[in-house]
Amino acid sequence: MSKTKDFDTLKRKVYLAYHQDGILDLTAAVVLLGFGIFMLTGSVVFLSMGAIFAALYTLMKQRITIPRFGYVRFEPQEKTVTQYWLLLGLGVIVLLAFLGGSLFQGNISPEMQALRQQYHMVSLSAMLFGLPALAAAVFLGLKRFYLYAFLAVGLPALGGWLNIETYVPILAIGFVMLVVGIGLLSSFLKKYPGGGNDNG
Amino acid sequence: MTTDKDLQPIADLDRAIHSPARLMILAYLGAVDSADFIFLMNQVGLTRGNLSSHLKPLEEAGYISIKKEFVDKVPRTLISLTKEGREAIQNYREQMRTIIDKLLG
Repeated sequence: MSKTKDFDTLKRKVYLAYHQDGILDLTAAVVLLGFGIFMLTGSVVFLSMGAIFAALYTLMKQRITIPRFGYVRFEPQEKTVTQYWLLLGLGVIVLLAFLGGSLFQGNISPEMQALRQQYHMVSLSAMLFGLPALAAAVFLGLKRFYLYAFLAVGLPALGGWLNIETYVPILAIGFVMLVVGIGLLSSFLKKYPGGGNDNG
Repeated sequence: MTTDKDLQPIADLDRAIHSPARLMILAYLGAVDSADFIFLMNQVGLTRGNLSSHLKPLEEAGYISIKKEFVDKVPRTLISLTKEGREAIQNYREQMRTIIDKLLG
C-alpha cells in the first residue's frame, strides 16, 4: 500500500492543523515590523529584535504548540519538480532584477533611474520577504502565505506609486501578519487549551 | 450462527482493527511518521484511559510500536505504525471492499 496515496488527505489535514498556531505568522510579523522600524529610526536594535524572535521560533513551537497539539513527526513533504523549479526560477529572476538594478546604474536613462529609485523597495521586499513567504506557501502548503508574498510585492509597489515613505508598506505587511498571527494563535489556544503531561 | 458463504469475510474481519476508534488511530498513524499520545488523543477525540485501552491491543497485535521517552523531563509516548500494521489496514480495506461488493453486487 502506498502511504502517500492512501493517507495523503489526512496527512495534509494534520500538517495544516500543526501550522495553524499562528507562530510562523507572528515570527514573520516581528521580523517585518523590526525591519520597518529599523528603516524608520535607523536603530539596529529593532533589526536584531526580529532576528532574535526568528531564532525563538523552534522554542515557541516546543513550548506552545507541542504540549497542546501533541508531537507529530512528518515525513518529508513530497513536492513536484515543477514547484521547485518554479520557485528557483522566481528567485533567480528577482535576484537578477535586484543585481541588475544595482550594477547597471550608469547605463540607464535618468527617467529609468528615477523610476528605479521610486520602486527600489519592490525588488528588495520581494527578495527579503516575498520569496520566503512564497517558499512557505509552496513548501509548507500554507495558502495565506501566498497573500503575504503578494503583499510583499504589491504594497511596496503601491507605496512607490503613491510616493509614500518606504518603511510604511513594510510596516503594513508586518501589521497584517501580526493581526492574522494573533487571530490564529488565540483560536489555536481555544481549540487546544492544553492537557498536562503525557499519560500514555 | 449459520454463516452464508458470501458473508464469510465478515467473520474473518480483523477484530483488532474493526472498531471506529482503532481505525482512526491507525489512519492517523498511517498518515504521519510517528506521533505522541497527546496528538492521538486530540485527533481521535478519546480520553486518556480510552486511548490507552485501544492502544494496548494494537500493540499486542504488533500493529503499532510504542516508545516511551523523556523530553525536558516531560514524559512522551511516541507511537508509530509498524509494517504489519500497514499490511493489516490494507487487508482490512480489501476485506471490507469484498464484503460491500458481495452485499451490494
